[in-house]
Amino acid sequence: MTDDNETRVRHRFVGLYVLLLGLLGANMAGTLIDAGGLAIPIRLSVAAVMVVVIATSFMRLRQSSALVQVVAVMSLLWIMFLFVLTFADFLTR
Amino acid sequence: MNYLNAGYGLKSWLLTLDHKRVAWLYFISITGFFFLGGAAATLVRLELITPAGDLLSSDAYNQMFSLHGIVMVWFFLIPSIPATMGNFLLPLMLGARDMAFPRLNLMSWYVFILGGAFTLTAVIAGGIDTGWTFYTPYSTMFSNGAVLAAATGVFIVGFSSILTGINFIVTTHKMRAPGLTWFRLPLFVWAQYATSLIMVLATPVLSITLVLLGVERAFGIGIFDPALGGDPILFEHLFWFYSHPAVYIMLLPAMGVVSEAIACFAHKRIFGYKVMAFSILAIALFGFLVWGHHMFVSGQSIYAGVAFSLLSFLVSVPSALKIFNWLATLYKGHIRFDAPMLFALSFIGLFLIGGLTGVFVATLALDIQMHDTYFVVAHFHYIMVGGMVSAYMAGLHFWWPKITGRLYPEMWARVSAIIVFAGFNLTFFPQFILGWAGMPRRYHAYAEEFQLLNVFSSAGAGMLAVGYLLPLLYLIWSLRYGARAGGNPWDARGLEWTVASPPPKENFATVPRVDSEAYAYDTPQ
Amino acid sequence: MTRPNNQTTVIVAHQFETLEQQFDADLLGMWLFLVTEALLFSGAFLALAVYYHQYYDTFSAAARELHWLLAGFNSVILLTSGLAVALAEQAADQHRRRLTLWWLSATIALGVAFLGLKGYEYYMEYRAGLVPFLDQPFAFSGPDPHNAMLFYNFYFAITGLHALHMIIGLMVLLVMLVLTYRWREGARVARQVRIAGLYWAFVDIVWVLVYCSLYLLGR
Repeated sequence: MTDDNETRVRHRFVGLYVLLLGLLGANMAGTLIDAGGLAIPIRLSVAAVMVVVIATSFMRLRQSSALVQVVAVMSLLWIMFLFVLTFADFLTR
Repeated sequence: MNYLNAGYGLKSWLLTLDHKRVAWLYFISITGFFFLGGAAATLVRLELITPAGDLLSSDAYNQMFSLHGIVMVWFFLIPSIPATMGNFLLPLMLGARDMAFPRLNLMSWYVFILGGAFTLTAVIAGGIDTGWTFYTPYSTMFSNGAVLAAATGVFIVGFSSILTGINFIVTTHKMRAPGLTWFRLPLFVWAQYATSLIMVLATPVLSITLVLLGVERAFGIGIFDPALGGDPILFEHLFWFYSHPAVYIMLLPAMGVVSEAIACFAHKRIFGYKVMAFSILAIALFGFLVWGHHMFVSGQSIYAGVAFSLLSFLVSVPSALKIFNWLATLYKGHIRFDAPMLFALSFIGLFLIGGLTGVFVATLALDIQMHDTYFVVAHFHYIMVGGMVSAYMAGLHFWWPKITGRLYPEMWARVSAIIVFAGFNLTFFPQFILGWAGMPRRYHAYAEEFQLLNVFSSAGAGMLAVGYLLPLLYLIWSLRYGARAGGNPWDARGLEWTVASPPPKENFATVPRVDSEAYAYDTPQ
Repeated sequence: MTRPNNQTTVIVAHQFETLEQQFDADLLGMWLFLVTEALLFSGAFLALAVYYHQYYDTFSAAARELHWLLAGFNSVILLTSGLAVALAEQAADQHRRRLTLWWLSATIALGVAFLGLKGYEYYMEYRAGLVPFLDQPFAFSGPDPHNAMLFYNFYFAITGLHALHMIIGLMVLLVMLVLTYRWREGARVARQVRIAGLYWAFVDIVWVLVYCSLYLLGR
């Protein structure tokens, strides 16, 4: 890897870090505005974007092998099973 | 020079990194747990000979069935085949020198023993009377037993199965010999792989559930406490998210063993190999979507109940496919009735009955009647004892020559297989009728009219005890006096039969190259 | 796997054929372990979500008592430590020992700072009488104090579990610091640091979700 490339990667990490701070700030500032019923979905979505940024870049999921990517997606799928089927009960009581 | 005489002394065993020796550590410890759980079952069946609760007090009886369930489920059935035969055979079947993480493998045994120590402490420190399920709020607020120690033991043993699962998955992905493609793998490996996936995906949810239960019990940090508005049914959801898939942790490896034995003793290629492989994965997947069928009478929403009931029927499709494929493998095979085959055939018959009665209890309306009766007890014993333990015995006999280098006495083994089959049916078939007639489970006394069938059942339990003690005696006997086994006494196929018995310490002198499928019974080895 | 053994034989563990195979196995093992961690936390989050669904008003009143700005600042600290560990991984990749040591130390320092602030936050909650267990007086002034207790139980259980993971992560990073200091084999250290960094990033992810669900959702 050349020095140039090295700096580029470092800048990318710093850029994404700034993005994460921005998202965190936006989510915190969002609590000052009354967004009504949209508040919860918005806050969860911003947090989800932060999670995706950390997972794909800081954990290098994008550069990882297909197998590792499948493993990561699998955890989401199983968490979804847990939530969807449990709420199938609690939402229909 | 083989793995058994590669080193002597306690230290060479307790600090071994050889997967074959780790398998032995598990063999010895789970055999201990099996007979401990069996002793508790014996007391339960002795109590139930008479309608009056005379032999054990109701408290002692509750402790006995809890001990039986906890030890058998968490310390025998769940580790059983993966931790023993899986550990021993997986690298051999993959053509690898060891697991991907040998240290982790040894560590998972120590973790297992630590968990066992906690649970035994619980038993000594005042018994556990919650049943194996630790349902709240009884376990958190009312039970006087040593719930915390028992739950800690189960929590710890969960780590052991997580570590084993991770190790198996990585080993299967990364350690296959050149040419050993996925569809050349023995079905035993597929079964271990799917089981490991369940261990990795389900066990952590049990861990957090037990942590929450533990902090509630120990520090009063109420999570499921109804006084704070907590919901005990939430505990059941979290618990069964693990514990239903756990049934397939017990069953899938058993299916793997049976596939190997049936193919070998019918001397035929397994019928519908790919269907078999995919149905293993399908069972593992569907197993995660059906947990609510344990909660039909718990107060969960009726709509959720309907959905869980329908999803539960899905599991029967791949399960039935497997049964048909085993039967098709037998068709026109050159069948030999050696002991492993007898155990494997018992598995098919008993699993079939267990599976079909499973459809009964998965039916929402019918389960309202059947729930918490002996019908359910009989159903899951047909799956776990009739199915899983029979397969464990089949595998133990099948690979015994490979593991020890000695043949077991064939005649005694056949006698044991027949006693176990007869004793099992005598024990548990009457329980279907008892449950149908409405006898509830978990009581030490019962109505007079149930006595005859209960006496049958207890007599069958006696036969079962003989059937399981016999192998303990003749297998130990064979370690010293059994005839020497060659590398491949059954004329079986598969990489594990190409090495000497017992296998050398490094398994393979050179990494083998594989150019055929696992069940090439039509070509001479 | 088909490749013959080359000069790396010395450091490849006996069960593997090549260093690449060993690294792939380690990486996959770590990811599978993180899957189990994710499912562990998801159980607790599921329980929290169910109770949010049932007692949203009480939970959101209870959440307002938490020190959300302090915890927000703590989030910044943790995200910064996440950047530091990523840069440590990069430095190790470049076989730059001193730079790796520096970034690893920065990560550890930030992690310790996070735990310190978290401890201070717990202390303030203890002073305010918001600890509903261990026979502490519960001084929550909002509606429905019983259900509010449930919220604080979750708050302490989930943040406590996260803090436990932080401590484990810090110990892993300390080991990495020692391994980097010794610098036995560049390629090996780089891979070990990368695998350790995965765990730290995961702890970061969990905190992002903890902060959102406990501090922000109720506001």
